[in-house]
Amino acid sequence: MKPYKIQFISYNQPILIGRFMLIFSRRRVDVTNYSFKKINENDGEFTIEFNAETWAAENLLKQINKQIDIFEAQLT
Amino acid sequence: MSTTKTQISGAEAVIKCLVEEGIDLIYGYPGGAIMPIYDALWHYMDKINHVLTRHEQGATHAAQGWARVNGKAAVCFATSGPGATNLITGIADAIMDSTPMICITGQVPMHLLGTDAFQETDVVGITMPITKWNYQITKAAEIPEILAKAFYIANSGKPGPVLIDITKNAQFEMMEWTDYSPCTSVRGYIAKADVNVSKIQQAAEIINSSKKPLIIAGQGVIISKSKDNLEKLSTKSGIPVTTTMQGLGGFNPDHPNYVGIPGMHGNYSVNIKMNECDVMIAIGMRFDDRVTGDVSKFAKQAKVIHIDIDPVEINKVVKTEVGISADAKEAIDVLLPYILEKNHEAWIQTFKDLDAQEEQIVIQPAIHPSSDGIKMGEIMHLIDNKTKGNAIIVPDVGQHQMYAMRYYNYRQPNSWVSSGGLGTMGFALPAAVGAQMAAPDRTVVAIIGDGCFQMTIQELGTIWQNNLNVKVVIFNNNYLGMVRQWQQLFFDNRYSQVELKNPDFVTIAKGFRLEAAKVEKREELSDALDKMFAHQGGYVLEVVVEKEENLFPMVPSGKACSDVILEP
Repeated sequence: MKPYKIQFISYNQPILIGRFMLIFSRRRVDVTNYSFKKINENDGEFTIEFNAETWAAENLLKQINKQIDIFEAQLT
Repeated sequence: MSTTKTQISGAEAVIKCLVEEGIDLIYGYPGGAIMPIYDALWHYMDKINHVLTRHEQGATHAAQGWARVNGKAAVCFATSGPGATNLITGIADAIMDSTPMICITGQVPMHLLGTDAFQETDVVGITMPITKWNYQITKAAEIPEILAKAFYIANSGKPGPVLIDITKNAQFEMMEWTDYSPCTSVRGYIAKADVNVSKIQQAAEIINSSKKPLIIAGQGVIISKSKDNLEKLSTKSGIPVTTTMQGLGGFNPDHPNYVGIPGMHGNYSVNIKMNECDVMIAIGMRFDDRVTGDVSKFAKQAKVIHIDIDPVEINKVVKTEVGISADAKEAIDVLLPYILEKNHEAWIQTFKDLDAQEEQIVIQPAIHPSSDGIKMGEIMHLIDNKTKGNAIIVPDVGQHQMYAMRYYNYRQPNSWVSSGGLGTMGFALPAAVGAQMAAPDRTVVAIIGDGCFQMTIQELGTIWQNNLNVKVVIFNNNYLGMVRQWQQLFFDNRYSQVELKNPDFVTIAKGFRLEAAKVEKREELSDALDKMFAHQGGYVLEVVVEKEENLFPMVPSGKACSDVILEP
């Protein structure tokens, strides 16, 4: 297990964190931190930090990218 | 393009959007929070037919049945609160089986949101994990753009359900209606990736050098309308093809390369050979646990090539050598020129050798039984003969579903309408409503167990009210048969809460003004089926089947697919 961070842009709606966190909670991912930051009137930046195996982190990125309201996701 | 502007209510905008999307049929159930939309619908009854189901769950399953046969998103309406929560099972079913569906729910006015108002429930929150997308509209002006987006998302890429919740104030609010613009893209959403040719070439190289290749085709083949393309691929390459349960109809069962069905109650040979093939080409399927058995022992010897429109499916369950995220039809078409003409007759013969064992031990006793009781396999075999494999079969969930899967030859795509992923008991009767309305010229047969039938039995009223030509065959063993079988085999015969004391199904059907009959003897079965098929209109045929029939072959739970057994 290694620490990873997925950052992505979505709408400026903090409530969306619920939708995105469901992906992590359903797969019992060890989430260590998450945050939302308004970046302009339309968009917000979401960050979720977690511990996972590399393959699992990559698959989570794919799951995140699959969400309709997510733009520009990256895994670091 | 001319631009016309008129003032209309949000409710009317909803209906106009549906008309613009080509929707002429809605399944639903009215209630307080969606009354403005129903009132607007009243003015459009010449353009849209609304089917009043007897329960909102029935509306979702009917919509699923329609969408699964038609390939396009169907629409259902429900009110807020309990109306919305009654949609949940159907929505969850649709996401599991990649069924396009638009659910529109009424919601309490915006100023009452979050106040525990009468019939208020957070349906957007509830459906987040089971929709492809959901959204709450609180202003009328949002309606055209959001509904256009809903249809695009539901129908494109890997199809799925979308829920749009509309507050009552948005339904009443007046808005300016201009020309409707269908949605063609959504920010950040890639419906399907272009086929990666270098990966196709890698896949072709592996396929061309394989000795014992096997294609597993799933529902993606049906959704992408690539039955013919798949048959060309198999014919040219000589590769045997197995279709998953949801992929039934995606490959001609009479094709010499067809080897049957994989999985828990699939064919003996396929389950054994999945653990012997050297290359596995999975197309439009997702390695469901009912297909793989113990995944740690699944196809470990094989190089796996996985083609699926959903990139998440690649490497999700089974490690792949080459993962191709693409539409099945497009991927096959690009792959085909790279494939060498070969034949694998000796390899296919090894399937046939094992098939002979299954034929002797399982199939012949199932379709030509020597025991007194009517067996489920023989009913399906007769239905297959009488409809020549061209009916739409809508099974419910349980033993009868597995017999419907095994003993009917699905010769056309969109002919198997079953709750595969979620396994929803009660699916079949309302789904058959939708299937029949989607294909009024085809024979639609709902295969239903006595337990399942009583979960959505009220939809007999929908069949009668709409004069639908749905044939319902109840396999009645007075048991929840699949659970009973597991209790017998794996829980030392402790039959816990599986026996049903049933009502008189014929009387109930007749109470709904449908023709009905009951068969208890084998010699009456064929004539009873003929009478059912000859009848114009809804018909319920109850067949009393052997009480404790067990279904084989079977991959015992937790075992490898190659541990499949032909008998206890």
